[in-house]
Amino acid sequence: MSLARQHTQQWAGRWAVAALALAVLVAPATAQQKASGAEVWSSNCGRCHRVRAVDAYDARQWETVVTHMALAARLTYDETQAVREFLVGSARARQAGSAANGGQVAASTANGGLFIEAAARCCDPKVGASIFKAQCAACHGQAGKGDGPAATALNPRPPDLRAAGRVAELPDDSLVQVITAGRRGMPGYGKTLSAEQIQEVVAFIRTLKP
Amino acid sequence: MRAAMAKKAAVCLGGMLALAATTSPAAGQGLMVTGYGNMEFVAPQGGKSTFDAHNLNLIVIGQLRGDLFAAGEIEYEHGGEEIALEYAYLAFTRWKYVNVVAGKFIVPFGSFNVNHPAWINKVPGRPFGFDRVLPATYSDVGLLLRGALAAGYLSRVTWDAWIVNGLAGAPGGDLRGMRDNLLDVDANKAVGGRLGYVSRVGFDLGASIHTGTYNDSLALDVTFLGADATFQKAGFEVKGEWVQATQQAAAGDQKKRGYYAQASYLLIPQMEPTVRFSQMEFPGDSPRDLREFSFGFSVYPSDLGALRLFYRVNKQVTVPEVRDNQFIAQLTVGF
Repeated sequence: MSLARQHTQQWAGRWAVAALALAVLVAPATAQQKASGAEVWSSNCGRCHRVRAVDAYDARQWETVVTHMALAARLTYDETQAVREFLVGSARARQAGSAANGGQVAASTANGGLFIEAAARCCDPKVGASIFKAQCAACHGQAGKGDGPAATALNPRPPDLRAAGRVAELPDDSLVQVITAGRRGMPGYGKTLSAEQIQEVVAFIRTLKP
Repeated sequence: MRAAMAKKAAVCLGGMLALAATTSPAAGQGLMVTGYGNMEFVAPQGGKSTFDAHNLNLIVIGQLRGDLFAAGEIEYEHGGEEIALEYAYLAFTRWKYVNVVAGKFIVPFGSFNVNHPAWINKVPGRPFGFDRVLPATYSDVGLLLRGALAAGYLSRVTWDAWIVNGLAGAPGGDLRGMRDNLLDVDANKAVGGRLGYVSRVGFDLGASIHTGTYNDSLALDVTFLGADATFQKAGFEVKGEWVQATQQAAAGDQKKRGYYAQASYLLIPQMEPTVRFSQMEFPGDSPRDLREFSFGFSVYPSDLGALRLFYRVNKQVTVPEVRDNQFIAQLTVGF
């Protein structure tokens, strides 16, 4: 056996031991929490290249791109499924919104009816906060300042949701429309969140202060 | 003759794939064309300046059916002077902990070999050591298994293992010239792997190995060891990579090394200054021991492309007064 082969086997052995040790140490944490697709997207897609906007592709294209990129980035199976649901789902919501009313989701649509129904028994800002953290904070930041981990590479950057004169002056219906169908690079969540969950997010946004 | 035929075949294949991906029923199966290209203006200190249509690479990817995925990349370099198939593989992605890739693929050793495209690489050109030591871009034909295991919230351990035809060439020869062993010249196969850890806080760490016989008649091996690390946070990125090739030769083992360190900061979403240092070392005081220091910035008009303006200081390690500095303007796009 050559010297180089012996050297190789020694290294391989060390790495295998290190891998096992790492797996034993971290495995118990794996089942506790699952990251949302938005978090996987913001945490991983900017590691190698500039983040591609969520409206860059349609749903079918995102299916293909997600498989390609998940392979390259070595995402776990669950992460791949989550980011696929996020990107493909938001593309479908966008497409559905466009088909419904030229990019606007009107309150008179079937979905709008659900919103009205949901609004009648809504909404807990605390529940909205947890949804916001999982789905929105990746870009908008935990406090809605527009400083989430993905924000630095986005153009336009996510708005500061606390700022007077912007979100504060929008009626709830308009916020619901934006969250449902997406706007200017922001994904639509009409296929990801229920009508009630969207109302809860709106309720949470109303609590944000500069 | 053979090269000319290969060139014609590649041109035809590229056209057919692009056409198929956009117009045929296959488009309905998730087949699409992406790619990247870059155009450069290079002004070397001791030579003539030139424009260079460095590359236009067309990538066809397709979610064929169920869990079967296909990808192929054809590269047209230097205005079409060089044409090659960078990779073409099928991937099976059904299983939770392992994906299977078969065909010609970019060997996932380290970081730069995979992340080399100009629209991703923030500094124009390769770092020293990642062409003559690790012969980037190194793609090979064989089988790749890869997967990941969750390791806490938004963190994971990743692994790759591959068996390929491997490099093949003359004893002690230049490693870069040993690629393209597409139909294996001998029965020996090369094997390798990469173990990585991706952390939610921004770390991406990896250790790689690749070993095989490059000269069957004299039973000479070459073994690559590598380590790579990246840290990203709030627009700041620092990364580094080290590779060592131990190449057996008639006169004994030759050790060749290359390494780089790179830092960048996204000042505003449209501008990112970047610096890079790299060096490669060969046995003895070789004139091929070279050192680079590059500095400049990228301007991003959109998320698709970048204009990079860089000055690259190149000099010999043993004779620093021997320099070949360059100004490089690069327009690059990934689509």
